[in-house]
Amino acid sequence: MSLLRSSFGPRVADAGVIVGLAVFVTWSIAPIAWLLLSSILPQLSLIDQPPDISFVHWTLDNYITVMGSAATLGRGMLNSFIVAAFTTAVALALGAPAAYALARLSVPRSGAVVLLILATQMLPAIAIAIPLFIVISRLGLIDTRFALIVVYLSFNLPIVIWILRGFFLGVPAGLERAAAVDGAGLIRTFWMIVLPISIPPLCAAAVFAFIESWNEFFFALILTRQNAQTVPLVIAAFAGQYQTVFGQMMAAAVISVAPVILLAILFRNHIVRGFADGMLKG
Amino acid sequence: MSDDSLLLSRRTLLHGAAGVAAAGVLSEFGVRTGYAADTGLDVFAPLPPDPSPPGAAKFSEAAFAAWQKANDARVKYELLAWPQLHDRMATAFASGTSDWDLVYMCGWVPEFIDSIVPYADTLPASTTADMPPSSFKTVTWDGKRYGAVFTLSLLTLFYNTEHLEIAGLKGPPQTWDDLKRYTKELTRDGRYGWVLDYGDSAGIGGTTSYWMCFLQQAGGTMYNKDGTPAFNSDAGVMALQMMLDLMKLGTDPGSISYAGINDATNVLLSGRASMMMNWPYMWKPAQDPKQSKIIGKLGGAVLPAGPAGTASIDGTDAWTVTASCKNPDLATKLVDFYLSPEVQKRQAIDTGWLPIRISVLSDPEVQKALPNAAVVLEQAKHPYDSFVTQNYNQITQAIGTEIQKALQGRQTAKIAMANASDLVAKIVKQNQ
Repeated sequence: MSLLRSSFGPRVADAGVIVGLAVFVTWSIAPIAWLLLSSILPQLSLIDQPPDISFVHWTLDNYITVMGSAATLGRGMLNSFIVAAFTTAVALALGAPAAYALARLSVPRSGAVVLLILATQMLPAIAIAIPLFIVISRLGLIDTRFALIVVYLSFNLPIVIWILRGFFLGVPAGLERAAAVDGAGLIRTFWMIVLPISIPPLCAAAVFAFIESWNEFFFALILTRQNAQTVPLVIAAFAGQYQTVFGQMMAAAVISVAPVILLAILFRNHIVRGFADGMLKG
Repeated sequence: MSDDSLLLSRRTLLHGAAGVAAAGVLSEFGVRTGYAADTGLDVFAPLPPDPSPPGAAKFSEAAFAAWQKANDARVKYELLAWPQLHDRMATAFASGTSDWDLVYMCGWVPEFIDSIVPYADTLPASTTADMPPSSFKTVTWDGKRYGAVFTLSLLTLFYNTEHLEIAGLKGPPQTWDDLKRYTKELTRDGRYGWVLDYGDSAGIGGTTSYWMCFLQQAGGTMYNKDGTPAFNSDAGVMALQMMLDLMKLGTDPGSISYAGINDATNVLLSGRASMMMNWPYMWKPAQDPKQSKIIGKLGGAVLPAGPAGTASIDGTDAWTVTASCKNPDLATKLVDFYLSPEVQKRQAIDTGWLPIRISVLSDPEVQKALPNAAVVLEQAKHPYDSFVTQNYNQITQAIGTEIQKALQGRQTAKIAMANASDLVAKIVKQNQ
């Protein structure tokens, strides 16, 4: 930045930054804007080339139709919410102590353990789909939210551990020593001292786990039937073999993405700080 | 909003979320019952508007209820969007834990042969005699009939009558030469003469399957009697050259990237292209003012004839009975009900999916409701084979990739066929 300023002067540098940011924001927002616009356009406007997006065609018909089948969408959203919330809660409850142990305790070959935990992420979903289906099926858990929670934990927990371990490594050791001087044991120190200052990375990890669980499609496809169907499957149902109802699909997507966006807005400051701390120190 | 109130609301939100989630997860242990204890029939089928049975799609609902009552049967449908059917089925069958009795198939019979049973010969003769013999081709393996196709779904030609009239073209193209000439003459005023979806190679409705139509029209076939590839022939090259010629003469360039028939259909329905080959179901959305700009302007015809005449491929929407079926006799009876003349007629008129029974296809009421029924019936009198095998997806993927390269101008038809033949020979050898 200072190089920019010295080379081109402050005004040119500021303008460059603003233009750069504007391009980046436009680039990032474009898909969301198109999602919103598609959701209020009729099918005929959407299949035109170029799509006819003029104001006169705007309609809420897609939303009205989607709300008409609210039972399916509502059930999908409820299932997604329950699965995502529970996965997130359990991932944090198990991941935080595990990450702290890996960061602070003298775990033999803790670096290798962390790598091993992350290595579980390297298996493609398709490779474990059939064995997983057999196990879940034999346990009688097909079409249950519990099955999805267990499966989602398997790939969210390692990431949560990775993010939080990075943060815990950066916590000044003096804080914990001071707690020890005051008579606090390891668990008390973790609970009373470390966790309260770890809200940003906890939020970052929570939002990450929630979004991953909310959006997951493949395992939801093979492990659910009708009862535990999550929202990505409900949205995908708008595309058939011979017909795709684009507007309704987009309207359902807008409705389903709202809770995730709300969550991201609510915790935005913590998320940014949390990811920065966790990733950089990891 | 102050920080405190924000914290409070976040905490409340989190507590509330945890409460709802806990209640939701715990509740399912109380109400859940195992699938194994179910009786009756479990049917796995596509969600409407794709071909779906009565009671799932809106037709013959009263007759379906009456059938269940008369047979003291409870039929439970599990419906899934068509694009996801194969993956869920593959996982369930591969794990040996499928709990379905009756399953919809679309060209996958050879692939799932170990998970289904050859029940179709036990259907009443009065039913099977009224179905085109070719309809059993894609559901027959090792001489045994594993399925019954319930809708006659063949690729035929669809065209915009207004565009043809403007171009001074009388009637649909009859031959390959006509098709090339029409494509060139109809490519004008920002429109294209021809559109199709060449973006996805594999499966029925993929690039390879379109080439298979041209292959049969050129007099070629896919395999020798020993199962080795036979398509690297004059007919195979001629078929691909026909696709390349159409590409140059006026195929919508987007066709290379359209990954599903929906995309190509939308181009025709919006009036941006004049001709395409498509499935019979297209007739219905083309008459819907919410989806189509060409209402009353759609014409249908059999596919233009190549050197060996006209030919097509079959969508093969069929019912199969699983190896784990709890009551195969009842499942067969249910299929026979789905194929009964009255249900077939309502299927056609109420949903747009043509019947498979020839007597119903010839019914004046059906032909009036679906004017393309007569065209499809005519197309069915000529060869149609989808050449499905156990490695159908793998094989069509391999051939389609070579066809796509040719369509993009990266190789000639001759080289593409030679490469595709080598790839398929390897696949066949690996699986022998």
